[in-house]
Amino acid sequence: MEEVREKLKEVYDPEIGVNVVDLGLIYKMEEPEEGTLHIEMTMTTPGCPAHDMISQNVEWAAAQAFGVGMVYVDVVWDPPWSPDMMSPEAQEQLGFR
Amino acid sequence: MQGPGGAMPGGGVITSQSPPFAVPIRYMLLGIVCFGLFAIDFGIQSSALAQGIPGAPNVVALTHALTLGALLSFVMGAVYQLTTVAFLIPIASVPAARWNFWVYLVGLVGLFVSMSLWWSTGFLVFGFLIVLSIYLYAVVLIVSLMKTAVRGPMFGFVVSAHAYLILAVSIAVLLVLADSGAVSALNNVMGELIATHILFAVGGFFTFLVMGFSFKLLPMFTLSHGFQTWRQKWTMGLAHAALWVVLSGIWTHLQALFWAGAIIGIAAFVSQILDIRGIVRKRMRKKIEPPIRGVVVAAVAGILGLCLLLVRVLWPMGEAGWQGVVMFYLLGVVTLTVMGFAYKIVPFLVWTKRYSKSKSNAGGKPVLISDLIDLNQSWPVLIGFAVGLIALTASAAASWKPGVIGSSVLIAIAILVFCVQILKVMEPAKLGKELQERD
Repeated sequence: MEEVREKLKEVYDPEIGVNVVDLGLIYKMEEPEEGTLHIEMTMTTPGCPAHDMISQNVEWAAAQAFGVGMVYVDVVWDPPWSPDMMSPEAQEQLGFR
Repeated sequence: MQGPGGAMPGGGVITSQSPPFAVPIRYMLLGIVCFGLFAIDFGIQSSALAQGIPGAPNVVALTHALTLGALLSFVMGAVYQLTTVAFLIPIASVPAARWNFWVYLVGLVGLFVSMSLWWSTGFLVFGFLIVLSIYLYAVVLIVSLMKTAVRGPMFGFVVSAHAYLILAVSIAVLLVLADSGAVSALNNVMGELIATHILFAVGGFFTFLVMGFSFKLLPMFTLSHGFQTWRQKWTMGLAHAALWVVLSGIWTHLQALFWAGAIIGIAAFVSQILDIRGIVRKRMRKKIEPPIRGVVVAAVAGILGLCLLLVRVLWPMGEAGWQGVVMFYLLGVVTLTVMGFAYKIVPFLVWTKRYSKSKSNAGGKPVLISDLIDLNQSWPVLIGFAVGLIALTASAAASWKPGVIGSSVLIAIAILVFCVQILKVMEPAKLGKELQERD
């Protein structure tokens, strides 16, 4: 899972310029069976035009991790994203600290 | 990745609805090119503008270079793109949107030439083409929107905008018929028809569209959450009421109705500005980018534009007075909003096409939208444009010709710089190849 998380740090929100992990967009990562990964994530705003592209890039990046054969990405809106979910580094970058 | 059977595990939302890149970008490219041509013509025609004769062929052609050429072209592309993400629907007919571009292009070029030369046959031929094209666009959009589950004020604004576009174009048909002598009975109401056409196009289509999409785009670009939305339906109701009361004033010639319409319109913009203030206050991005500030200023310009209408009713200045009001509103509200959003929409669209799949640039870092354009470069453009517009309005009111010419040139330069900046993002050489691909 740690390797997957590192891979996901290579996926950026192009508008904000912060990766999806530090933005706090990744809610859950589970491996219900070996080689299959379920990722639950959100977006900064519903109807975000980058929605498709970010979720596809998350799927692609996760699939690059060793031993991952199948990736399911599920975009959810509950709980809604908030700046509190960002890492301290991202908060600093966006002027919250 | 979708789960088995195409369903998303856990019921996630699928939004793969965007039209092919070539559809919106073609319209947007035409819009930006027309912005540039308008700017050059605006500088050239500045002395004609100073005469305050809005019915002069070169001024009519200039106005339509802005409304049909720059604004409507760009807006059509933006709406084809934004409708899919705002309403989570596909475009009803991508082939119609794609082929309609060429019909629109031929109609636009022909109509501009016909207006410049006041060529009746050209009006009929190219007017027919462009009317057909706009009807088709509006119908495609309305049919698309009928399939959305996303309802509420934004839906109302966008549908209303396209209904007003159909009305504006229909009135234009009557104008052409009257001008060509085909329906001589309409000659007695030419003034009313022209005013109605302008009202439906500018106060109806463009105003409703920028208001409606602002409720979507401003939160998106400021990362705003948790703001109040109850006022939006009132804004829409007031905007409709203002338009129809002013329309009644046009046809009854009752000054009180102009007053009432302008005051209701001001109330609509005040309501919208209160909503914008709420969105900005709840934003999660601390820094508000210059183009977004420009959009906010454009909403304030809406109030100023309607105040000018009130002044125009109090102190009639003939056609020159009307020209000043319409010009201020078109440039200050509609054009400034479109320019502001263009700085955000075009880079996003280009980035999605060219860089969303590439992991990194030559430096090993991922390419971000901010790598395509430094939005701080928009400051001088937006400030120059705003200063030029204020100076133009004041100079025109004082009938000071050097001021009109100087401020027109300043506005023209600002728009030209804007075009260069957006074209640099588009990279026409790459775009040419991309538009030749089957997408």
